[in-house]
Amino acid sequence: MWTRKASLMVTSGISLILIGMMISNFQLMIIGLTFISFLAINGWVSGHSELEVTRAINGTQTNAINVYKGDDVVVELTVTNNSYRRTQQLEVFDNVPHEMKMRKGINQMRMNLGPGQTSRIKYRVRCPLRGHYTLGPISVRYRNAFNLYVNESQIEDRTDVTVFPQVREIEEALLRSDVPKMYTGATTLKTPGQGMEFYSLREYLPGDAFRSINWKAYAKTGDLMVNEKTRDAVTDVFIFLDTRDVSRIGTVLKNPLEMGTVAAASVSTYFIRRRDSVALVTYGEKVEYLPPETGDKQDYKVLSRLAAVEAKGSMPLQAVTNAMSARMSRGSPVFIISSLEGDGTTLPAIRHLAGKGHEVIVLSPSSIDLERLVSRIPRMSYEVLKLERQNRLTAISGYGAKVIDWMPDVELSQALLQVRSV
Amino acid sequence: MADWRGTLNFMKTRRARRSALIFSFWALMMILVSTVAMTYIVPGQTHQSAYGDDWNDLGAFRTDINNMGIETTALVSSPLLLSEIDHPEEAIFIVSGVERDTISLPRFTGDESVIEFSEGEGYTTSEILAIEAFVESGGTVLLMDDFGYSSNLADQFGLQYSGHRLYDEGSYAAELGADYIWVNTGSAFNFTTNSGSLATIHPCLKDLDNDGVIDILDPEPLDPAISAFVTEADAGLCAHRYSSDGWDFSENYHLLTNAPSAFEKATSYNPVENRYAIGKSTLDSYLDTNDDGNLTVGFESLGIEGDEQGPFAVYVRYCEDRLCIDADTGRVHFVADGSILINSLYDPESLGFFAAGDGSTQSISIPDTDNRKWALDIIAEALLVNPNSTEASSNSIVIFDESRHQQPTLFGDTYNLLYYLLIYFTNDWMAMLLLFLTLFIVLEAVLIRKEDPEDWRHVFRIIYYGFGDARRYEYYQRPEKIRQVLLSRVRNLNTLSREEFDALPAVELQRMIDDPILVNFIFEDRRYKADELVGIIKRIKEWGRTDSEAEA
Repeated sequence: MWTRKASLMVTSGISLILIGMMISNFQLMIIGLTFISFLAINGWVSGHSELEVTRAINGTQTNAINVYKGDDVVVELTVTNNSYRRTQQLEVFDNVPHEMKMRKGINQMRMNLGPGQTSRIKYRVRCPLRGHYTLGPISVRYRNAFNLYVNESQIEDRTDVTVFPQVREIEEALLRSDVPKMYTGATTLKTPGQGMEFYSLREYLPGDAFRSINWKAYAKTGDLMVNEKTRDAVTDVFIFLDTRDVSRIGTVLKNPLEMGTVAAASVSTYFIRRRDSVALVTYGEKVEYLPPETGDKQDYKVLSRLAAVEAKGSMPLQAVTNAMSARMSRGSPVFIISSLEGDGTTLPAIRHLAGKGHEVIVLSPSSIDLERLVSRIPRMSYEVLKLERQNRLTAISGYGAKVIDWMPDVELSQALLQVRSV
Repeated sequence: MADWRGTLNFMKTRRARRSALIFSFWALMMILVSTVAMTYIVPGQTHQSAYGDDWNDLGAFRTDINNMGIETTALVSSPLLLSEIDHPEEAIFIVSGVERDTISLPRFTGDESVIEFSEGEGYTTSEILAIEAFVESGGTVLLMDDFGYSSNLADQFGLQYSGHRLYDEGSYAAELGADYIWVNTGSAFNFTTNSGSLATIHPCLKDLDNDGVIDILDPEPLDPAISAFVTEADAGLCAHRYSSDGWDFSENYHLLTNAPSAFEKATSYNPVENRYAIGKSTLDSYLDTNDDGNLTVGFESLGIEGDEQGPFAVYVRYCEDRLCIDADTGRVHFVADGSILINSLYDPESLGFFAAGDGSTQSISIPDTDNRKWALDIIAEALLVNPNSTEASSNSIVIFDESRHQQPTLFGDTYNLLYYLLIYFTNDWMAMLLLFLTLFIVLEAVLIRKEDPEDWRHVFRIIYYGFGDARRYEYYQRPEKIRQVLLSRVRNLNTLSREEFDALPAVELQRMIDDPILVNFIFEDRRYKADELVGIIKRIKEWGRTDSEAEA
């Protein structure tokens, strides 16, 4: 690619030649030819050296990393010139997503590496927004000595960064609040299943996990035997997270969806730690369902799903509960995290769930107050809107649901203490 | 049948029609481009080239000139370059057949029409003016053409080509056929009827003391008693006049032409305008004005147009100065035959021998002509500007115009065209102005449009907001909406279903509300002021407030 200087030089060169021809001035023509020749000679000297670039995240070389919202990531690029000539003017830039904030250092460097020389670029970025991001590719720009030509290329070294929503400590709040305490974590049942305690020994069957093989028994009997565990009786906790388009009202950091993902992650982690099973249902443009499971793997799945959700669509809650009711075990607690805005089916949906014996807890970020952060709502309209919202929450609590009106400036743990029921 | 119908349906689809349209467009483009390109790519039949050795080329003439130590060159782009010659008075521009036209480009006329967009055939006006300026500066032009595109150039000097074939039953080379016509000049230096011989203007003929040695070689040009011994080597550019028998002082030329044309009678001779008809056809010649190839005798009463009877001027000399007396002034030699100097007429022996039918060889059979003498006389007259030397100076140059000849090499014509455009844009004022403007605009465009690659930098950008629907704010200030919110609140706090609430008597509702202002607000449908509504909303908030609400 030609730089502006080169373009000006070539046009000036041609102009001088032509004007020189016009006025029969050979000096001008020679100057013009000199310009063109200079460009041509510079054009032959192009390309840059063979570079090797590696990226380390937090001190380790990896292609993927998981962090929580607000965490810092330390990135270190190592640039090595593997050729036998100098790199000349080399500019290396690590492409960092716009959603990440540079905290220390800078993600680019200009260098002129000799053969075999290595240089390091180290910087620290903060991840203020949940989501799936990619660091890289690495852009390399070479300029020739006179800055006439620029060559750009990319080194396809990428690192995936998954930013989970923050997980708040809510154990104490849930214990102190009016949230039902009937699901007190796992209890052991004397039947075989996925649990922790030993139940019996049986013969190996295809599909059994390799690590469940009892090698001592195999050594004694000569047959492959596996350990069977007792089944843990767990509670299935269902979390419904509203990801409809209306859930984006507010600022980028404070809106019903962001508050909802934090709440869902915190509740999910809390119950998974208690070895309960947690199911996650997100609804907006479409319904996405994560079946009830327990363990770290499920925790990771839930957090990953929550990292990816976006505010889209306008699916009504009742359509979701109708679709999910067959998969929900009777009496299992249900958390509905929604601003409850713009959905006329909220009441019948909750009534339906409550009617089927589910303990329904509605955690509702106050979208009116979030809207007020970004929009000048007339005072009278605001009061009426708030009254209408109060009416809606009152009606929901009238169906036996526990309702939490979550204001933007209130911590999740504080909000959980406000459980209101009739 | 079904296939045929399917194909027909496919042809009617938008996609098929679009594809057909695109195909047609590109096919048409290809045809147009190839048609234009073929004009320049297909090698044409070349002839009358100074750099060819074929029977109809001028290679022998050019070789003769080179052997005399004169630099020769070819002009392949445009005669506009004649303005660049440093010593035009020692230069000869030779045009042998103008075989093709070139593209017309606009130019400034310098008169009231300001700009001329179209040009005549042959040379452009700028080129003709450049040739005229060359002659005015003392240059010599030898223009040999018959039916080509030279008419505009001849017009500039007041001469007109007839454009018709000349036949001369009284003077043609019988051994070669009627196409070869002799043009005799009794005295090539008797320019006018009363001027007498002006052979003294020619350095190879000037012998003032009549001692048989031309003045340029005579140590005492005015003393017949003192002469000199002249060798062929001494003769220099006049060597063609030298012979061992003595110097050739003849002023007549016996020129052989090949299928010539002729000049219009009315324009060929005009001493006032310094045009002199030197070589003419005989009285028996006729000009085939109806182009039927035969002599047609006209019968005016029957409306039959007859061919024009001779004599006709075939060789005309134009002098910038009266009677060409000053050796440094320009002159133009017009010949109405493009092939008068081709190898077969100029120097038949240069073509070598051909295989004859019986196994022997023979050379081309051409009678003796004065074509070579005539041509070399023109060269000597133009280039011998030093009265004491028979050699041309180092400034002498003979330029052959190849810009209007078909080029034998592939892309030769394309190269010539591009070269022509370059010369045009650097010599014509109009083109120079256009070029200057274009360069200016291009430079400006580069300055404005061309940008260096942006510096890389990381930008932290997450400032985006989700706004609610602001249009609903006004709706929530209306009394009806506030009334609806109040009624919903009453219904909810009294745990009534919608049906139960609708069936509630008004008295019971009033009792439930137990606030006269809110009751009036529910039942009175009137316009409320803003402050009234504010008060009502405050009362609604206070009404039935639960402990948790109060706490919040």
